[in-house]
Amino acid sequence: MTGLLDIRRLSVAFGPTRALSDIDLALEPGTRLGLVGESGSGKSTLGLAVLGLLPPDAACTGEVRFQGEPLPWSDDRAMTRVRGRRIGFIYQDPMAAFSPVHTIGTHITRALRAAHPGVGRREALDWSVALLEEVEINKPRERLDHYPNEYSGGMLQRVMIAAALVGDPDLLIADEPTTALDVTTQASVLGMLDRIVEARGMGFILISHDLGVVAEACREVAVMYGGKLIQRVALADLKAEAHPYTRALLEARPTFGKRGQRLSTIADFLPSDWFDDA
Amino acid sequence: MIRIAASRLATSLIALLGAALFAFIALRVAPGDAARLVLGPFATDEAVQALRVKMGLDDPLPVQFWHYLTSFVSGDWGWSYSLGQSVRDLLGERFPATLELGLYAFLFALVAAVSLAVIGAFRRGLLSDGVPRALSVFALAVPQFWFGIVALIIGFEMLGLFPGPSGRLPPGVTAPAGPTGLYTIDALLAGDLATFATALHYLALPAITLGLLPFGFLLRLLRANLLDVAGEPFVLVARAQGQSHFRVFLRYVLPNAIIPTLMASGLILGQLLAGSVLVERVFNWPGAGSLVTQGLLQQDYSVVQTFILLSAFIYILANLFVDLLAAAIDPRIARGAGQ
Repeated sequence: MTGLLDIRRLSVAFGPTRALSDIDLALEPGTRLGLVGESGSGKSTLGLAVLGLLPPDAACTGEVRFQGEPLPWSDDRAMTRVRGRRIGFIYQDPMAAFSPVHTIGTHITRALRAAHPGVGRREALDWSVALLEEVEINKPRERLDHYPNEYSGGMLQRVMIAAALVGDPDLLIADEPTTALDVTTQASVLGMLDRIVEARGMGFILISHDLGVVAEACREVAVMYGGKLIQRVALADLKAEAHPYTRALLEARPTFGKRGQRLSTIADFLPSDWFDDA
Repeated sequence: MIRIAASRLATSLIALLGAALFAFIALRVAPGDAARLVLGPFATDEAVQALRVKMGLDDPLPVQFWHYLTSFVSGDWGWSYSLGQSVRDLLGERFPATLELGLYAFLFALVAAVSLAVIGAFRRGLLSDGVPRALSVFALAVPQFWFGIVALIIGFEMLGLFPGPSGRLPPGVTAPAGPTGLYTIDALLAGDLATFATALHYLALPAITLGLLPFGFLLRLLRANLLDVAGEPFVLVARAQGQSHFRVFLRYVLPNAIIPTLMASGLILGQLLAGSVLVERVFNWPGAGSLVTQGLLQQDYSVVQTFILLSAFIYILANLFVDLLAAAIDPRIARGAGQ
């Protein structure tokens, strides 16, 4: 059986700064992996690297195989057919993820027709209505004509999820999908993602700095630090066999048992090999 | 949309009234007595006083302002004492030349700036990006009159590709009769393609010279905005949905980036139509610019005052148009005004 995603010795550098070094990560179909780490640990870079959407000044080496074939990063037109149709992506800040001068309907139909080039205008409209219904937007037909600033953050995030799923991808990468939302909305969006991923049996990479969020939606955790993947472990075993850094992350979480105590923090230092020419 | 149009129209009317008031006050505080200027230094005080009464200069200022407004609206723009002609006839002759020059300068600036900025931001290579950057610096740095003279030396003297500084049409060619006074448009209306081409040929160098500065400005502005918007998350998201680089650029980046450029071009259009004294001078263009300079030097204030008001009118009209256009592109503007 071929794996879903196979990342081999992936390194990314921006000038002298190494964002990712020698990442090896394999995913079987249907795997739900939480990718955790502090800001700057390279989580988001890893997601964008897989999609081939790193900024042009990024130097990228290594290989990523998707369903057995290497991803054609150097060929943007070929990558265009991978994005949306085989790998879906959800961005962290729903308020910034929509163009302010286009209606929600425009955004959805464009995503839809990118994933299904043959679809006509009328069909795309009906399909968009159905999609909004699926992510629980009330009065979808009317709502299509509204602009992003007339939606709440939670609604926008649900629309973005609908748009990411329209091409029926086999892998969904969600980059901090709930970070910009308030706690109640977080729970409902996370619950919705959980149901959809479960129902479609798709692979799922949830990028987050919040172990609680990951625990809710994933079965495995990969911990990143300073551009390196330092540990990958099943969620159930996380506490038992944690790497010292993972243990530090766990201890930094506020829990009921620690009421009245100071939360522990992680000492602020950079790994010595962060810079190539150091 | 109708609401925003009405509100912008109201603001425009107030601005216009302000401009009229300013032109009126400027004339009243200017040194010299208009009646004395007309009659000359040897007229008796009684004669001057009689003319003052006749001209309405003895009335209270608000009454004078009212007379000034009503006569302007009814088309009576005063009399030029230095040229012995009604201001309306004078400007009717000269203003279309200035309008046409400004319009073509604007078209050149906008079209050239938008196409170069788009090419440069879409494909950021040394040639496609470096050339527009160098051009915008050049256009902003070069004095207009100098560029005009050099353009004449190269384009007319050395290469003979363009006509010399001899106005709007070659001698012997009769100006096309038409309702607008803009030779290219009148020629088109009359179906006279030969005259249209000739008029365009005579417009080329002055229009490019006049449009050079705004071209550089718009190019810089749009280029910066395009690069800004290209880094927005919604561009990344659209790309991640499988939309191609070209489509995302055309559908998301350009509409978001072009709004500030449109707003700025409204101001620029107003400016171009109003003032081009230097360029008119270099190319011997028979426009209103030279008329106004002359009017200023000879204290012929009715000419200057009318010109100020006319340019203000055009400037405000251009801005009104651009405001409505921006509201049509950006829904936030339209909804914001409705609240």
